[in-house]
Amino acid sequence: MNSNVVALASISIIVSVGASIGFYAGTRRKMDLEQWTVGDRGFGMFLIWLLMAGEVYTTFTFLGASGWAYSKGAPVLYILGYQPLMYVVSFFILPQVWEVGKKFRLQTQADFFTVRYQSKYLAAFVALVGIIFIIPYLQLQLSGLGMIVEVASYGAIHRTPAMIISFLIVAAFVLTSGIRGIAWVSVLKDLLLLFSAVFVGVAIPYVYFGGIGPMFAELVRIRPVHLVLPGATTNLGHSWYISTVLLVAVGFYMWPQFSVPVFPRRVATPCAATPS
Amino acid sequence: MRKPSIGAILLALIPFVASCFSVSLWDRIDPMILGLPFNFFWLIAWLLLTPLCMWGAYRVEVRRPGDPHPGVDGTP
Repeated sequence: MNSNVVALASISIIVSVGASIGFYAGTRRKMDLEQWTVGDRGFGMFLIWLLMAGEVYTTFTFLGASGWAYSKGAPVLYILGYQPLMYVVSFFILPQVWEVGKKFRLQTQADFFTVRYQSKYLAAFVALVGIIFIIPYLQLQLSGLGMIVEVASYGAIHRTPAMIISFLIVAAFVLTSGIRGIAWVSVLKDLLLLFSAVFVGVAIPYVYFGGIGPMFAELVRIRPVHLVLPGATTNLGHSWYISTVLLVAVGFYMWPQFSVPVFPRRVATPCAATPS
Repeated sequence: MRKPSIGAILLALIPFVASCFSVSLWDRIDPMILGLPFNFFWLIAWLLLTPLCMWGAYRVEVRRPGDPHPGVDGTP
C-alpha cells in the first residue's frame, strides 16, 4: 500500500468520524434556539473546556505559528507570551459575561452589549464588527485547511474541493446540532491536534538532530540571531513584543467565537458573584 | 457584578510583568536550560507558573463573602 492511499484513507476516516460525531451530537435533543446556540446552558467543565480549546486552537496553530517560527524566528515567541495572559484576562471577564448571559438568557455577543450598556446601536455595531472581521479570519482558516488537505493527500485532493467539501460538512452539522455538535467535534479535534503537535514536536527534532536540546544547540551554532528578538526581521523587537502581547491578551475576547462559548456553562465560577 | 479584589489583580499582574513587560531582561540565549535558549525556557516556565498565580487569585476570590443579588447593570 503506498503512502498516497494511506493518506487518503486517513483523511476520509477522520472526516467521516468527525462529521458523524457532529451530526450525532444533536440527535435525541429537542432543538430550539436556546439548545442550538447555548446547549440549554447545561455544559459541564469538561465539555466547555474542550469547546473553548477547540475554538482557540485552529489551523493557525499548525501553519501560522510554525511558519512564523521558521521564517521570522524569535518573534514567534509572542504566541507563548500572550496565550497564558489571555486566560488571565478571561478570569476577570468571562465569569461576568457568563453571569449576565444566564440572568438575561443571552445567546450572542451583541446580546451582551444590548443588556450591559442598554444600547441597541452599540450592540448592532458590535455585531457588524464581529461579522466583518470574521470574514478574513474564516478565509484564512479555510485556505489553511485547503493547504493542509492538499499537502496531506500528496496533491490528490486539490485545495478548492477540500475547502468546499469541508465547509459544507461543517455547515450541515452546525445547522443540525448547533453548539453541541461543535463541542463534541472538538473532542476529536483536540485529541488529534494534541497528539500530532507532541508527535511532530518530539519526532522531528529527534529524527533530524537527536533531540530538542541538540536541535537548539545546532540553531545557536548556525543562526544565533534567529533565536532572540527581532529574529530574522528588522522591526519586530522588544517594543513590538510588548505592544502585541498586550493587545492580543487584552483584546482576545473581542472575538465573538471566543466569548460566546461561556454561555453554555452550567455552574458559576468564583468571580461571578454567586458564591460557590 | 462585583469588582475583583486588589489581591487577585496583583496576582494576575505577576504573569504580565514576567512574560510581557520584562522582555528585555530575559530575551537572550544564555544560559541555556534543559537544552532550551533562555527566552524559550523562561516563557515555557511561565506557561506553568501563570496557572499557579491564577490559582492564588481564585483562592482570594472564593474566600471573599459573595453578594447574592448583584446588580448587572453597573449599579453598585
